[in-house]
Amino acid sequence: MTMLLIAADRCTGCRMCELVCPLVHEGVFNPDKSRIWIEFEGMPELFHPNTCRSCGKPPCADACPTEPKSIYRDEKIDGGMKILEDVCIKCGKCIEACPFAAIDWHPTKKTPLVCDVCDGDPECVKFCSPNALLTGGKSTLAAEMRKDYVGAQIAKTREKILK
Amino acid sequence: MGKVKVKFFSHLRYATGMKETDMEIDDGEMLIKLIERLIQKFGSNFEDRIKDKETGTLAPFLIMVGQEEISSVNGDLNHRLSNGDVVSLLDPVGGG
Amino acid sequence: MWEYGGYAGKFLRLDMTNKKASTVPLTKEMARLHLGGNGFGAKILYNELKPGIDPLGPENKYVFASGPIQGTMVPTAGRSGVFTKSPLNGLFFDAYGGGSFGPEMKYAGWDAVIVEGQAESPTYVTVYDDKVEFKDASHLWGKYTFETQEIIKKDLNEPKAQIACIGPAGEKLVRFACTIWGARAAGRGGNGAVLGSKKLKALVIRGTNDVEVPNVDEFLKTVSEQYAKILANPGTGKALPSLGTPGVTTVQNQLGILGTRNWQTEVFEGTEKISGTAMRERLVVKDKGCMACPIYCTKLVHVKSGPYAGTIDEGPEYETIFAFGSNCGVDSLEMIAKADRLSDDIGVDTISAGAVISFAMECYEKGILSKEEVDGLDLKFGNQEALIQMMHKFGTREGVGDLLAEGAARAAKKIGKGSEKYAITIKDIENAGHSPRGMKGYCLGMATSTRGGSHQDGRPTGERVGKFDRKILDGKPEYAMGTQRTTTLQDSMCVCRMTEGIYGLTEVTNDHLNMINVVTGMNLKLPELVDITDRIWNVERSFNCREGARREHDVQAIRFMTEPIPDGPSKGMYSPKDELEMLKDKYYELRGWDKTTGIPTKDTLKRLSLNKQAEDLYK
Repeated sequence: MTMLLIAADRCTGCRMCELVCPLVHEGVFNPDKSRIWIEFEGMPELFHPNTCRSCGKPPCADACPTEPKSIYRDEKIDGGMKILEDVCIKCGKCIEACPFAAIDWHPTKKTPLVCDVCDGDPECVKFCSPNALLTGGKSTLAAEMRKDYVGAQIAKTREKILK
Repeated sequence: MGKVKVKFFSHLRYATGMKETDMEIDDGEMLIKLIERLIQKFGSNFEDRIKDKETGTLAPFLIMVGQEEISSVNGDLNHRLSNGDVVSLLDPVGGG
Repeated sequence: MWEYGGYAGKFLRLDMTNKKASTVPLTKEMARLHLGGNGFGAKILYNELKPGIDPLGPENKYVFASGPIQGTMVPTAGRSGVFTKSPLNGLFFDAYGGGSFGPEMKYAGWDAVIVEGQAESPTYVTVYDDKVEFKDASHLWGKYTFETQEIIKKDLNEPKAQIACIGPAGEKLVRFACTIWGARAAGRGGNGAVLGSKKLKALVIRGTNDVEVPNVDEFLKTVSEQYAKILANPGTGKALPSLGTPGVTTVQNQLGILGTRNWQTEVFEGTEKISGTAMRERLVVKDKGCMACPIYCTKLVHVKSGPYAGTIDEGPEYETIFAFGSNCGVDSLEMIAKADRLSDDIGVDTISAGAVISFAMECYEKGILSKEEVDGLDLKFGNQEALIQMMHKFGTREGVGDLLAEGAARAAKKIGKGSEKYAITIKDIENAGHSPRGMKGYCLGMATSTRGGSHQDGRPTGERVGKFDRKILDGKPEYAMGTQRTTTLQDSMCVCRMTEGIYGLTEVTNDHLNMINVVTGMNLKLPELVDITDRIWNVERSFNCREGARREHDVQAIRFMTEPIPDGPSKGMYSPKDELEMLKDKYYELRGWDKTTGIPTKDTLKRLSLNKQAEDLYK
């Protein structure tokens, strides 16, 4: 079971994920072909990563009009989505349906660009130095975020004691 | 037996949560032994900040005993400490 | 893929006078001999600029250039450089900034953008891959850099565009104005004034092309190894991510080499209040990294109370803390954050801005500048309010701002009355936050470098971390040349200086070589790479010699050569002229430069295939 999980608070906006993703999928560097990306806003910029949330009941697949579905969950991996490029009619229904705006158009193929968690071993996680990207089940994220919370409490207590 | 004051700078403060601490030393204890005991006292978060994790060796940084500067990589880490010494651990940051 | 991996294979030329764009193909020879970034900038400017031209006139050019690694995931590949003839000293100057601008330029299909000529009215240029448009920028003229970028992104509906722009200071030709992209600055040397003189408010770039490397598996192997080294190293894996460069502040002070009150001393009693730890505890709200950087030394700060409440700022870096803090006698991080944000917004280099103010403060305290001459400000060291008011004057050139906007060296010449010795400049560039008096190798490296008062060619790191004894002279000519080689190579690849401890502090290493080969497929050998760095350095040197620079210009600031550090742990240290001259003899010998003139010898130039330079300098 592999999901790609995001601890957005830790993201530093370095875009390493946007670089390694197209490299391992298509053999090139090009952030426009990445299945995960950082969204920047304002000045100075604030930012957070965006990618497929591995929904338990994916609205993108529900919305897909083809038969078989050209965007589907590979049950063996239990995370991310797969695309049947030959079946896909490039209608964009899946992009509309995603509540997180986490699917984009592939700039040249014009098929949906969506995270497939690298078939269970996501490369972006290996290059995320602040550990904002994690793999595991949904409880992993909760446990990780709790670590941050508890860490902060310990630091506060230590500060109080030392003052 | 004696005592030295150890002062931390830069992120070593951030790692230890303190600017300085007193350490008991044996008579004529060597500087390197004090560093090893500091690693024991403050754990891996401290160790990772002065030792390269891949090579396991001390990263280059300056240690001051009083006003004398001793390099962690080519200085005399067998320097004998005396009661009342002030040992300052600077840090291995590049850049600026 | 172009002939070699990593490169786009062409330069874009922007003729501002005629509002025309054209393409210049990159040749294999250019890539093999000059590599990229610094190498490209030096080669282009040497070939295309006539000696003696006015840096702020239409004949000067301004080059944005990246190296082969930009656009890839080589750690710290977000960096790129800008190159021009400096309005501060009329010599070659290179400045670099992080963020994502360089990579975006590469995705748009350009290794470099050469800006030339001069527009009649404010203009901005958009580059979408190979589609280039010159647009009216009258609605942007006068705007701060952050606002400029926001307006452009909104107007063009291009949130992903990268925008390099200038602020009011660049428009007003402030000689230490910089170029800003995002909240990063290509800070030093006054390049912003050159863009201002060309009336180019902003260069907007958006690219959709691929960047390729010859062998993905080999590439990933080398990058993974280097990535692991960066994380395992205490400096890059722990210290910089925790505190950023401000962590250095307390270390500098402890060694007695923290420039204080215009370098009158080098210990600052307020250091604890402006330390990296204090900043982390009080102001930091988020860590940030430039593109492709695992080190994330940038710290977003938010001032929540006091007179500067509401200030949100990327940084300040150590240099800025030194420049507005200790060197102006200020112990408020909140004010430093405010001054840093203002620097970015107005578009001035924080180091020079701080240095010019500290120069004025010393002149004021010594009675050389009267209260009337500084617009009624009580310009004493430590006066925060006055410092912030001075910053605003750089954006308007009002009152004393007009005099100081010329930089410390020019201002001192105008003021006279012995103020020259308070202008702490090297080759007319204000000194950065490292001590030439307290580090012998750094001192020589700076004095002999193209950039003078920048800390990016002579390097302090090796001496500050104790790998080399900072107090001795032995081996320092080798140290100076070694650090200059690594900086030249880093700036040509272009990787960030934060990786210097990973690649090698004082020599060209197999780590440099492997990374370049795995990106480009050039299959270079180590001696060839050493020659490339020496070639680039000698092109820069030849540029300066052609402008009249000679051995006598390779000196330190007057204060550093005549006044020993008065107190603190480095008390008594300084760089007497005869000592420096002795080191220079040996250094020139190592470099293959003429000891009398400081010009590279004919043999040296020819050995490096710099035949044009040999012809020009030995007519």
